[in-house]
Amino acid sequence: MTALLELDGVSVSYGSMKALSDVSLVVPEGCVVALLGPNGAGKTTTLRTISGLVRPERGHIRFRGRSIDRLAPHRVSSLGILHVPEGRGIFRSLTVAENLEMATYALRGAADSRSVVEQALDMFPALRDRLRQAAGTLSGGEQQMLAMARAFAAGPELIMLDEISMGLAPKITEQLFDTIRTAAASGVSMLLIEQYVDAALELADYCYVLEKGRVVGVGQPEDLRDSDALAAAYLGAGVA
Amino acid sequence: MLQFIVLGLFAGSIYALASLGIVLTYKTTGVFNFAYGGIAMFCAYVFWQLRDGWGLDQWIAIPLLLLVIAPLLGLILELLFRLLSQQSAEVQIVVCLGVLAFFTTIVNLVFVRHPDDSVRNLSTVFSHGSFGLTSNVSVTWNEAGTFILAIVMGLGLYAMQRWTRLGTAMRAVVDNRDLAGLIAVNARTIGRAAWIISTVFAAVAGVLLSVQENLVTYVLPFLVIYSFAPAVFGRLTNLGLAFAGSLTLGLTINILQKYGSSGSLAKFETSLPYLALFVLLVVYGKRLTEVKSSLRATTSRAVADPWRGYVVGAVALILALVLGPQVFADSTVGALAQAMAYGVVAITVVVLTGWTGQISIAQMSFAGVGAFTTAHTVASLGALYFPLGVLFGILIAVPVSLLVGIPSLRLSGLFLALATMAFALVMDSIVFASASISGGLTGLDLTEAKLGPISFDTATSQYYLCAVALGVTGLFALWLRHGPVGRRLQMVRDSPNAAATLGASLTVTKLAVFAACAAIAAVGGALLAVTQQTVIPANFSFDTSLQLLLVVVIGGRTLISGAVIAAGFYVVRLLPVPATVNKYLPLGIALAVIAIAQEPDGIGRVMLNQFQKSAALLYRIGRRPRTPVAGRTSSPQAVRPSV
Amino acid sequence: MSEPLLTASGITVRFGGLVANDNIDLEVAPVGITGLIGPNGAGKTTLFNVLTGLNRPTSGSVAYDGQDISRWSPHRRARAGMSRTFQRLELFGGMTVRDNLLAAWEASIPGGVMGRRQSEGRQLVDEVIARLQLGAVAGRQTGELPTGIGRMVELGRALCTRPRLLLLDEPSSGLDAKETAHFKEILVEVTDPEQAVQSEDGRGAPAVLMVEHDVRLVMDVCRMITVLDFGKRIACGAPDEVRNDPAVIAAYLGEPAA
Repeated sequence: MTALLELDGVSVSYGSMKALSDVSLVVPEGCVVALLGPNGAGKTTTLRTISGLVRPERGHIRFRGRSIDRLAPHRVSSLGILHVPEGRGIFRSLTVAENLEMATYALRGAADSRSVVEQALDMFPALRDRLRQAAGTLSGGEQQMLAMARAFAAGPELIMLDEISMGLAPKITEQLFDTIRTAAASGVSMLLIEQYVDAALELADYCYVLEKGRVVGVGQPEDLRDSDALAAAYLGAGVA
Repeated sequence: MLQFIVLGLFAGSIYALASLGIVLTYKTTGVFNFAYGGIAMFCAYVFWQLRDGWGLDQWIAIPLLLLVIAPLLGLILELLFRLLSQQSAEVQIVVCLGVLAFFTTIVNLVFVRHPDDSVRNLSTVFSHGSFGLTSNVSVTWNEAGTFILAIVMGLGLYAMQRWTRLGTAMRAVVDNRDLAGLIAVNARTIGRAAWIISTVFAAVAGVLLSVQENLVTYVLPFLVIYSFAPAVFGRLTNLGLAFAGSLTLGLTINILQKYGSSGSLAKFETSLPYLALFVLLVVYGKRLTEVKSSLRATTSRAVADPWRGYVVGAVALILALVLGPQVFADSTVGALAQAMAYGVVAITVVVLTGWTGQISIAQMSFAGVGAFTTAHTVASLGALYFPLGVLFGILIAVPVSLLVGIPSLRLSGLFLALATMAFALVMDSIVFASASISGGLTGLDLTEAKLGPISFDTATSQYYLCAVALGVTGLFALWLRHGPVGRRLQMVRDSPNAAATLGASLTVTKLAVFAACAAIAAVGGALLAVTQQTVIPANFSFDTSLQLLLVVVIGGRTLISGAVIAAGFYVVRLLPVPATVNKYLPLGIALAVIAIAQEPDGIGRVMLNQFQKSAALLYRIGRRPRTPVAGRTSSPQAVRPSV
Repeated sequence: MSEPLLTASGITVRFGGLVANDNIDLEVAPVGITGLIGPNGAGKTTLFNVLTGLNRPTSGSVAYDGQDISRWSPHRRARAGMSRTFQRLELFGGMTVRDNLLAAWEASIPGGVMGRRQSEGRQLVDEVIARLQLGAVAGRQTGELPTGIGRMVELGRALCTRPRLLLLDEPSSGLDAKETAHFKEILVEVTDPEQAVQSEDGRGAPAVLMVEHDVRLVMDVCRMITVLDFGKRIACGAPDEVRNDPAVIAAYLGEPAA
């Protein structure tokens, strides 16, 4: 098993505010890795640092052995690291079709935008009727589908999903999780943040628990489920 | 009537091209291009040089301009503003104004060798002659060609945005810059494309405008400012509205010309675009959204209290005050007096731009209010009533400033700069242009002014008057900065959120400072009137406000010394220095602003940093032979300036 | 137990179709620290904004000291003694620590300050600086201080407005474990009626409502804790009750497996 993505001692600050201290983690090829931890633990910052939106102060990020910590976001994403950011990663004023066509930018080499769009629509057929509609007018669930569809259509090597279930009804969330399961089964590597801890534990091959910008726990889901680290991170020490 | 509609559509279509270019760069890169008029004019002169100057065939000159020179210019500008993308909005605005100054001065240096050159004729790029639309309305081919070209270019831009891959990516960047990066869109490439297209539009607009209005260095940039109003009408983001607004503006101006050609409306139509700009900014208010040009938020740099600088400045001022008239010739003393009067106005720029983070490009307009009011008072009541004139000046400047300030303070950064710019231009084109107020081009005389028994008729007496005024203003500014008012202002600047929830009533404070600055500027204007003895509108125009802002930025907009350095600039302007100095000084100013605008403490700090770096280096080199380790003991703090 | 200082009743906030707060009741006691917790997206920030006046509730009302303040502007609430801090530091970065505190005091005086009263403010500022152990950095610009000290300055600034109610928005965010511990210690001290900073008008220790994601911190310092999930109040009680409440555990960790 080879490491697809590797963070080595990454520290990040926003001004004087320390967001990540010495975070090291590995996403193995073909695996789903979940980042767990309470709000403000640094999960989103971790993804933003990987995708180049935030520069690490210290540490290294390697993708397939190549250092990517100095690359701009568009360079990182053209390597095949597709980040679906927190809170609807769509271009609201563009149509659904145009949103999907944007995926061609991430595809190296000549890409036929029509086939890219088709491929995305096969994944989320619900979007087919809405191609000419402005993306901002879609429902929350459809917007999230669109964001994911675009990421998957862009020929990803690694998909990073940040709380795709936020603010969505359970039924739609379940549908999105199904897609993740299917994609995972087909071998796409994923790094995800999820507020539903039990769902994350079920989807992931590995989990990292973050607290106050540090990795405080790591392991396979079944190990973590029974350990105190998770409960302590979320609920404070001394859970009965 | 139809004839005026034709003329209106023709003029409007040129404004449309300019406003499309302005909107495009603003929405894509977040930079509002104040320099657009300068760029357009520069391109028009280049075209004149290529075709008329060097006699190139028109069909070689046009592609050379539009496919090589303008895109190159666009790339240079893109690079400049990308380097500034981490800086605050103020810095970007100031640099943009520096670029405007650069282009207007470079045109004067390169293309206008003799005074006769300042007005040049540029013949149309289309066929000469005209055709009849109806029996008594004829349309020139130039007008028709311009209109059709504007429509084609406008539609072309629309189609590009709508249906091409680049256009989709451009809209994606506008929609969500970060997200575009996450899907492998290089915002830099997109920005470059926007700058190139925008500059090409500027070139076309500049050439077409010059055909109509001739190549006139002091008119063209202002005509391009006409298109700021439609750009704001399109909320700086909507190309279609900007286009429609431009045509409406062109029509309105020309129809007003038909009805108002004899009456008081005659002046109104030239200032209508500025009035429209001002009114639109006020009406839109907070609904105008600021496009963030940078990925990362910028934090305001902490500026240490430069007490040492104040003491040095005060000592220098007192020494100069006492010694000045003894040492220098009368003419020099006169120049120093005038420069100190400028210094008084410059302090208001420091207070507004440096301390409250508001860019006002109208301080000389307020000075003009003071100058003309004082001149009128003394002329009608006598020299003894000089203080009363100053008081009247203040009494007029303050309500006027409230008129500008109350609506403008709802706006932020860029929009306040635009609003003060519009105000200054309205003052120029309506108030100062009115002969009954300003005495016309020759201005008003103010031969004698008295304060009680003291008459300010000699250079030395004027010198002392201005020195005292400058000192008092400086002390007042320091009190403003370091007292409760200063803390309150800094609160607003550093964290509007926290300031608001602390219950500080910011609008009143900001408004009070704006009004106080207008009042001080009016006093400065009265002093200028006394020292200049003839009050000429040109000395209080938008240009002079802009120049003052730029020299203060170079001097250091956060320090009183910035105002002193600014005053020094006027000494150079006023003294009989070699002609080349005066010729190249404006260019030097423009370049210096572009280079050091991101340093809030101005050229003094830059030089101090260099000096300290070299001193530290010399120190280390000097120490090294004896104790090789000593170099390592000088910590980074030791190299940093301690002021 | 005395009357609550702040009472929010039946707060509902809708954003379009989304119900961010659904009929929430909250009480803040006049002494001690009250906690408001909940998982990400539970509606804490929305409720906090309703209390500080940044959001208008769709229905429900907020009473403070017996008055209905639902329609008051944020700064009117501030004038009435409700002082808040921010999740992302909102310091006056270009001013020294001392000037930050002084500016806050000046802003809290109706009609502004001139001359004589300045000394009164300086005295209060000096005391707050001493109590929060900020003496060593009092002359430093806040823009260059680490977040841990920045939080302390924000707390000090709030105290200098002589508040009756302190509203803290995620005060531990961005702090490491050591800084959090220090913050906790100082917070407990300045809100203890026995040790409070005394201002001349005799206002004593302020009551505190803190929104916080660091559950551990909340459990340690709060007398009462309200827990939100999906915009609803799912629990309210003393730390021990809340900690063992199955609904709370489920909200944070998901439905227990099995």
